[in-house]
Amino acid sequence: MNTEKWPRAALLALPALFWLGIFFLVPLILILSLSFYGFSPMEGVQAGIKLDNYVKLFTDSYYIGIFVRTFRISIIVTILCLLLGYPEAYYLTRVQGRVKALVMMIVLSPLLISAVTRTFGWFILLGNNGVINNTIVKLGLSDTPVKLLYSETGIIIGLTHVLVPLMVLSIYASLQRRDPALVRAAETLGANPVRAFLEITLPLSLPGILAGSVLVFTMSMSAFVTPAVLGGSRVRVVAYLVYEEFLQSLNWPFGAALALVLVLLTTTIVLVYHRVIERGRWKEVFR
Amino acid sequence: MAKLELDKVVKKFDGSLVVDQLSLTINDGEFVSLLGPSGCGKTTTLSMIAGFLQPDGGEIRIGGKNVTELPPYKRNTGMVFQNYALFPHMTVAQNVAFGLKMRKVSAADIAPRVKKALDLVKLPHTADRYPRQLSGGQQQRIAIARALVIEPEILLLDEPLSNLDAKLREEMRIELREIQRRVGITTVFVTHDQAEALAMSDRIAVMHRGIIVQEGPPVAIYDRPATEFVADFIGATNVIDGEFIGSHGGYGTLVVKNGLHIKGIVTLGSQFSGLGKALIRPEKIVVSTEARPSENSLPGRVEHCVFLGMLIHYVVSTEAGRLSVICQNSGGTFKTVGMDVVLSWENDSTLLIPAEAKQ
Amino acid sequence: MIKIPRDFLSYFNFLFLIFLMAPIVVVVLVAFTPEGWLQIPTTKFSLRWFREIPRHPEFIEAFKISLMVAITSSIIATTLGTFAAMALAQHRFPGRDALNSFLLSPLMVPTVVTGISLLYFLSMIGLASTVTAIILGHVIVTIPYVVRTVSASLVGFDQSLERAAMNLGANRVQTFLRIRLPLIAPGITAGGIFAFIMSLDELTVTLFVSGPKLATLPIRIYNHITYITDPLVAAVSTVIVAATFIGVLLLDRLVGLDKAMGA
Repeated sequence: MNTEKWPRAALLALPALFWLGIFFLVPLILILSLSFYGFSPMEGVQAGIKLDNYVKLFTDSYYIGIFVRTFRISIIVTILCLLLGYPEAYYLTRVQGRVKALVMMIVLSPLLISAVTRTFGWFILLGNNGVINNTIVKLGLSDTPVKLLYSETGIIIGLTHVLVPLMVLSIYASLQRRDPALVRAAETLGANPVRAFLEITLPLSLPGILAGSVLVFTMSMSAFVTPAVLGGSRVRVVAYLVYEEFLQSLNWPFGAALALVLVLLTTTIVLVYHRVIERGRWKEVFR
Repeated sequence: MAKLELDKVVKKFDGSLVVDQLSLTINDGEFVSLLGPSGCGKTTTLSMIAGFLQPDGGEIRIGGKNVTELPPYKRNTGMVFQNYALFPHMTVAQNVAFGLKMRKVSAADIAPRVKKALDLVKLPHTADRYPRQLSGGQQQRIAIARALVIEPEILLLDEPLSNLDAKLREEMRIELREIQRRVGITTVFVTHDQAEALAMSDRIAVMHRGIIVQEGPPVAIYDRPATEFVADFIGATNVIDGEFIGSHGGYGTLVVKNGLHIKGIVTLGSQFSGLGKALIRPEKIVVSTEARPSENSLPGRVEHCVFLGMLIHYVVSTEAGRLSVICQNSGGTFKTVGMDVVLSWENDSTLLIPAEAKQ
Repeated sequence: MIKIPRDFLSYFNFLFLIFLMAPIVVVVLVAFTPEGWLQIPTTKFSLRWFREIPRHPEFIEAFKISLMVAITSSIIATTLGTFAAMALAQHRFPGRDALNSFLLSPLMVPTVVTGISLLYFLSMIGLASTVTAIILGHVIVTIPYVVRTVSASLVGFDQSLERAAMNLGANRVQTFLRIRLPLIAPGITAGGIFAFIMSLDELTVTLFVSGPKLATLPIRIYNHITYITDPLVAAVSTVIVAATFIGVLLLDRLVGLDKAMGA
């Protein structure tokens, strides 16, 4: 087979390519130049090439603080998703048939149910008079309601809820690929089930853990709806800041700079991840 | 190294019997094959010996010790899997060392034992490579080294040669057997390949529908199959139906529908009467153009002739039905299709069995 | 018989599923409250807030816009995405991996960024704050889902079937219409449903490009809950949940949910 020639069928991609090129790629490039523009409340956006926006972003501790908060939230969400997602993925490899289909459906439901609905649900649950706080007070764990809504805790709960399905899917896929004979082999060689899990299953699911973590982390870094409803202007994250700059302060150039730094951060993480999995030894071991 | 005993072992899946009251004793250092078609229960039996499956009845003893209730990691068995099951995230040396590590052997002792094991399978230079960097045959040897390094009491082989190409498979048959002899380990070999079982085993247990239908050394299994199933599964065989009319001195006679008499050995005692079958191996029949002195002979006509290189395969139609004949290609002229020939064979090459022994 | 293991993992699974379902269940329950505030009804249930929906034309109007946008954008995205997936199904050609990454890239770029860049671009050409703008944005965001779903259904596609058809005298067009299309039709339908669900649900990009006057249903709900919180939103959400549920069931029937989600 000649791999050097473009098959005619590859031209079928052109319409999608044009659409994304014009309405997605071109605007992204325009945003890049916008981020170097100036802005004043009186005269609005002023064309030019200035680094002012970036200087402001990297020197003002207010903005740095919001980046740090977004980073912190994302790290915690990733860890929680890992802790919850691994056992669930493992559970899914052990059940079959109708039970599996049903569990899978529920696991995926946060991704499919409307974002506003799901977040509104957490809004009701996390409020000072919500189900969770009422239970906490009733059980005597605390005298006063715990601040869950409009706090980092609330955002973390909401994000973990919507992103954990991605972690489950990713780990489940890598657990499914493993050869059951490997665990049996370890057992004939004297490994008890716990050892066999630690020595064989866990290391072999590393690709799934890594892929899932990168996905969850980048998604929570750039999440908007959940932190907007559960934190809003009381607990700002980067994406919310971009929204405010664009639709409230109307300082588009600065909003663009914020957005690009966010993109840069997430892309770097994804690129580093790809470097890791493309490395010779990793590829050799986890094919 | 130890004796392995299976005592009336039973296994059911969803209520149906997969292994039915199976008893088998394998002596110290013996190489025994479990041979049968897929679904005959041989793999299930092996899984119970290894401890992956719990029998629903009966007992398994290794070296006289009852291991029926023990989990796999507490039985001292070494196993080679069909796809080798080498750990892809560990080097060859780490793979081989795994069992020793689990047994808490000190690092200082592990290294020389791993080296010795790799020497045994003639792959000392692969220690630092990953399994996927090795060829199928090399992976196979590492799997053997990994199973043997822990000095197990029993070696279990689950169709270990089936993923190799034909030529390598024949080499590995000899090599595997040689390693087994040198180590002197009691071995259970599961296979569906009759040639493999015949070539390697001290003893073969032919399994069918969850039971052992015949057990014995390869020559006995081949030359004296107890049932039509065994005869058919191991090598090819001609089957001629007829009625049994009596026996004398270990030989019996069968009358075929048109009055023809066929004489042969009766193994299952001489009591049976009624319908019977004569089993004759194709290579035991001689084809000639004219009658020659022989204990049994039958005229016929060549219907097909297939040239196989070393061998020639004829299908000859006779009064007793179509018979397969296999001759050595010893030069000379071949019989051609349509030629009238005479088939002849000895009584000792014919086996008479009762018709109902269909198992 | 289905065996459900009872051990640590099953208990964990049980609690985990409760966690996943909790917010949705709560919304649906609150929708049935007879009270005027967000309360989970325990003794009395009422359809009061469902009856309230028709009295709020802004929700009806928003729903109409959402439906229009979802239908149009899912048709466009399904067409573009299906062709693109078929191009990707050709084993190997230079730039295939890059093409694949580019087609899926709207998933990787934060939606806030997609939203602001589209807003900037459209305001330059005078298209911002229109229904067209919303549709443009939704197609971008939903194309990756279609590409992924249709690609998944093409993976198992046996090319020798097409060769067999051509060998029997069918030309390329006939082969496509009679062999390939029927075989991948479930994948395409699933991709379409997926795009439709995602479009109905899209909030972020829409928030930026729709402008202050236009509102899709999610925007309307979002604005509503940032100002007042009454059970009306719960009732509206419950209707959407029911609609999504039907879509998801269809999706699962057609290709299997885990495949559609890119597992």
